Amino acid sequence: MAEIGAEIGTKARGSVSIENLGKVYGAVEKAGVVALDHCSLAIAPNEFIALVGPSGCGKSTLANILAGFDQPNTGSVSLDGQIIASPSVLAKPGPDRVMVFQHGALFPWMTILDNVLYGATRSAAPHSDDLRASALDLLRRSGGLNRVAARFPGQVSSGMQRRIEIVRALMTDPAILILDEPFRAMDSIAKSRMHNHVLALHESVPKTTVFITHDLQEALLLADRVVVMTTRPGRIKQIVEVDLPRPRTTEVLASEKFLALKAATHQAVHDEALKAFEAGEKERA
Amino acid sequence: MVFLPNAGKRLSWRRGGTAILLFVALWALVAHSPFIAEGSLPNPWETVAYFLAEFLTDSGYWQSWWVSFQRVAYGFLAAQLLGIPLGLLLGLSRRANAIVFPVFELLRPIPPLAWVPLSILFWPTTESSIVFITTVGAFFIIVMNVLYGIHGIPKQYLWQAKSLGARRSSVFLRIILPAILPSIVAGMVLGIAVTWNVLIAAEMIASDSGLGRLTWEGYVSATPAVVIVGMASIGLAGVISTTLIHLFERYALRWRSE
Repeated sequence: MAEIGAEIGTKARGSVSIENLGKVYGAVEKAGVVALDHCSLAIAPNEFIALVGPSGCGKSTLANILAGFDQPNTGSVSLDGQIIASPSVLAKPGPDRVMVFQHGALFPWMTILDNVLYGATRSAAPHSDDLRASALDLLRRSGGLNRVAARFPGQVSSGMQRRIEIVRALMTDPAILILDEPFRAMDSIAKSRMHNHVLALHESVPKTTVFITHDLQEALLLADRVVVMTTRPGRIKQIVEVDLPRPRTTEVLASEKFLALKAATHQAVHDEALKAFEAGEKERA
Repeated sequence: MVFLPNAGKRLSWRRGGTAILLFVALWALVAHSPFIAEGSLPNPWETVAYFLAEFLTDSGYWQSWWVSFQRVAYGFLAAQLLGIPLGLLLGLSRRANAIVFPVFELLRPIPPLAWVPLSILFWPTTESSIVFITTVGAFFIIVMNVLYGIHGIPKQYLWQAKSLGARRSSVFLRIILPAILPSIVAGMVLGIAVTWNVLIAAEMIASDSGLGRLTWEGYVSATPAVVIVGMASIGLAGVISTTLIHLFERYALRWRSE
């Protein structure tokens, strides 16, 4: 559907083109760590992409380049036809590409409402009443969070904190939403509630989303396509189309189709995890 | 987050009262012990009686309070007003740090009281030299606290602000300043104690007024009751100032209370 929109020239935002992207840490001639190597991927507007791979496979590097925190050595990233990252271009991190970090980054000294408005008020100060209203509305739709809007982040649960962070990111109306292992530290019940929340939110506020995780099941549950990455050099090993119908909930986890998809993808991810583990052992030996 | 154990917490009055009673009893015991020369240490009630008779209605005594408090307030505020911006400058600008920090590090180990002679020679009035010395006492502490506070700001806050598209001014005012506020308050708690320390010594050396001077005069006139009233007054003044700082802390850092 997104492709059709692009064809007829409607202003669909959030199409990303990653071409031949490479990133080496340390001096190239001294054989530095190859975090990314020849990565190419096209993301359609409002598509939900999950990047899966073991730690150290370069998925965070890719996210940091997308968000504008890191610069590639080769290749380029374009957003809606404009190059935002290449060896010669580094567009500043900005509200069109908002990142939600692995370890929560709500500002503890601001109330929840002020946190949510922090990025958004930057450009739209004259409409601050409207902005407040839409912030409260989005909080309400994120599980009644409008009731805790006047509290400080330290006074709510970690699940609420993660939902608030996503609301804050959405308030800036980004072209891409980058979620870097946002549910890593959560227990399984809280995690599955968050999964349903993200799935529902993607229905009501669709955004081009890049979701980073090392959990294959989570990736298959949430994404339209799952990108499996290899370890050092970080390459794209396999791209899995997830043709499960939307709207989805965690109920899909028990379906035959999901289990078949998981079985078919499992080996690829497992091999990479094993390789990463062995490489780590070798490094320490 | 770890902070002073009693910060923001209400003292248990019963325990506090018992502790003070025990202290008074111990004082009385020591005062009447055979090892203490007759008349060199008045017991608690003699001291209280002396205070009621000589000081309570004496305007000179209350003038000493007022003078000392004023000096502490000026010195402490000057230290904040100079120290917080300098700390920010040193913490945020690599160039300023390279130029200023070596000098700062050279001056920092000099004890505040070592500034007394130069300060008296340099400043036109005794008053200004005493305020200067008390300022020096708290100044280095607050600068160091701001500096470490900036280095301790979690990187993710700054990244997140940038990712949300925040401008530099907004990052400074709404991220950096509030993030270092706990360090500033910690610097204040330490700084106010040092300010009183330095002030009392400076008053004994260089001034003819204030609680420090009052205590010193008790010594010069060989009246131990005056010395003890002076010391108790200084202790009380310290408690009052610390309480004021804690009230400020409770308001400014209310987001930290769970």
